[in-house]
Amino acid sequence: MFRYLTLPMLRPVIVTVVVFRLIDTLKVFDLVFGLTGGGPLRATEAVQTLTYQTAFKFSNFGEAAAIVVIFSALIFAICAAYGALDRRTGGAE
Amino acid sequence: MTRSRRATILSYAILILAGFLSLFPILWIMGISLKTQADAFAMPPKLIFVPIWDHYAKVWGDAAFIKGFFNSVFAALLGNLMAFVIGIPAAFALNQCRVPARGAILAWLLLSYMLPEFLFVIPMYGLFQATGLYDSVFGLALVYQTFTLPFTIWMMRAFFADVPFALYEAARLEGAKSWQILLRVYLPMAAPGIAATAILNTIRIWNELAIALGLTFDKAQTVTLAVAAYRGYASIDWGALSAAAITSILPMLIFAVLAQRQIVGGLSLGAVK
Amino acid sequence: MAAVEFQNVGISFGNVPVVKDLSLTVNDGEFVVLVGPSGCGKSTILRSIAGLAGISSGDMRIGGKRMNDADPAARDIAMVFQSYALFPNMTVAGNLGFGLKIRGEGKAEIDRKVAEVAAVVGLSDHLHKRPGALSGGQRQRVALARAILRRPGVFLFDEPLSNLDAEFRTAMRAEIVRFHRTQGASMVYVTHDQTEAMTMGDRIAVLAPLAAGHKANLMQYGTPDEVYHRPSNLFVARFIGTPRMNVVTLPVEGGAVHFGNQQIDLPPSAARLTRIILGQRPEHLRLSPQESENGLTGAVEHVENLGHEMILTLSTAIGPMVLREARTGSAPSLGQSVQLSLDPNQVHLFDPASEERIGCFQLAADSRQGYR
Repeated sequence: MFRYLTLPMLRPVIVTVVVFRLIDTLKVFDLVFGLTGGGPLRATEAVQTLTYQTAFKFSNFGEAAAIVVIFSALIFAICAAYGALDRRTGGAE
Repeated sequence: MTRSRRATILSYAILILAGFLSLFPILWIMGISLKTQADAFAMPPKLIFVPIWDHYAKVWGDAAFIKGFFNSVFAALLGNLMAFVIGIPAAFALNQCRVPARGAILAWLLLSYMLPEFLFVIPMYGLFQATGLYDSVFGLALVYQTFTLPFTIWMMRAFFADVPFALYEAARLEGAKSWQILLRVYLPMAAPGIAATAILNTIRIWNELAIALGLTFDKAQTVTLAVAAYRGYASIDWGALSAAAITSILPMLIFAVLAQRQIVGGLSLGAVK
Repeated sequence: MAAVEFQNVGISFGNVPVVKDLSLTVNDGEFVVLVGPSGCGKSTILRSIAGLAGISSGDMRIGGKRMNDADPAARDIAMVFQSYALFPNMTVAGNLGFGLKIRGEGKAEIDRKVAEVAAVVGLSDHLHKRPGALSGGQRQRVALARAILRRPGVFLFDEPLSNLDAEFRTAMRAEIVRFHRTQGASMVYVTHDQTEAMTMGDRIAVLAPLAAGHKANLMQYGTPDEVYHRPSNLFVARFIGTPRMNVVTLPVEGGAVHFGNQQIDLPPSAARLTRIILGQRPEHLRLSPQESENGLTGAVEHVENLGHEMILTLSTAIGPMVLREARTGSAPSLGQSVQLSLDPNQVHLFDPASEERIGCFQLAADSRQGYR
């Protein structure tokens, strides 16, 4: 019952939630910065912590800007893909 | 055991587990803030102990922390003020002009939510240095508009849309101008919406770290940075750190508990509209 | 000087015309009802008087002055909305005093005027309450009081009784009519209910939707009597009166039509037609249980017994007929065959092409010939 009726109907919501959480976790900063600051020798580096380091530790604003712009383009692409997918399947949003 | 009973027990088990996982870190931190250094790191963990208030005393006596705390308060106040001063007339105008801007506002809102914070911090760093807004609460509140403004406009538009248009017409017939109608008719009716939006904005601003980190140095440090400051280079004062963390959570916790209904209502309304 | 005057007014929403070529005058102190089915433009016309709907062409005058583009608040009108549009966050006193406060009058002055008008409508004990705590009838009175305070030249009513229960409607109808008599101001009243129109108006404007193919909206503008007894076209004939007028299309043979065995001679202007539309109201059809020479045979399909009268639906060779007759004896039984005949003085004739009225006629058998 759950598998054949509830789950399929929940699919659009599940996809939406997954996309949102995906983007949320991709752009994580607070958690990583607070816990490890990027990790011993960048072992736990995330994109935004890298951006921070590049800009403020190494004073390389140009490169930092490039990093974050490319990253934003990636996120935008994910959103666009989700939007296109959503529109194609009838869209619940 | 019947199927539904099994499902209920399963759901409760998952909920309890999830709740525990969420609350456990906070409870643990609260424990550290009340224990001596030795008690805090004792293995196996000491569940029964004698609480000490030294850590809290230290944190509350620390001028830097107090300053950070109040900087957050001002940032939240200023951020909300800016968002409402711009957002309320904007939402009202959008409603009156019947422009189908709903899609555009929704896109703006989602975009502001999705984009990484440093996308705003990097360019603003140089700009703020040049204009003297660097390391100021005002500058912070300004940058916070990237997410408070679209959210406020979104929520206010939804609440204003709830007001029957006949009221606007009746007020017009009485000779009221647009701004008078907004002030005397729409705002009082949308008051719960304003409260919910303000609360949600405040929580978001209060917990913000990345932008504050990039755009402040020492004068405008917010409470999140003040807590992080307790993590020294050589050693970490766990007790003070925990006490500072708990202190920073407390206002929002009280806020959320008191305004539970408004927050849930506001969130769901934003979703439905 | 007329209170409201429309001269060849047209109103369009974008490219869609809603009102076309409307010419109508509301005289000073008159109670005019705009009535018609949905989409006929009655609310739009009312709102154009108020300034809430824009006029695309033609002239609209209020009190002799052209007011097409005037500010709604400067038009010397007051409006009672369908939903009453009371401000829920203010008390009754606040609602009533809203306009005065906007205009900048002093608090003492506002309180005095509010108390005065509250006494007129009988709401003096409710001034401190919020609209949410009032009944439907009380809310209507607040809306009325708010309108009175503006001392307008014209009162506008937008279907104010539609939201009320049927039992309240009759009482509220009387209240509004009484209100008109005491105030003596001009009133324009919009409704879709033809009973309201007939019972309340000095004059009725019957409107038809342009979307249904009509050339213009105004079908007829006259007193309830005129509209009822002399409908100028088929639309008005069918819209006014309940149960609806019986309407049949009959072939013209030799300058006359035949209602079963009954012959009706047509006037010369109508005799040229091949077909003609004939109508008679249910209360004018005559019933005789036995077969007689004149008339149309019909079988009783349905009987509605209202106590003092009965409404019969009959099936005949030329279509269903509805008849209304006072309960004198027992009602005819279902399936019973009865004879229907037309009242010669109450026949309405319409041109089948234009649906315009041709005239009322008397039977050929009756020696008095003539038409009204």
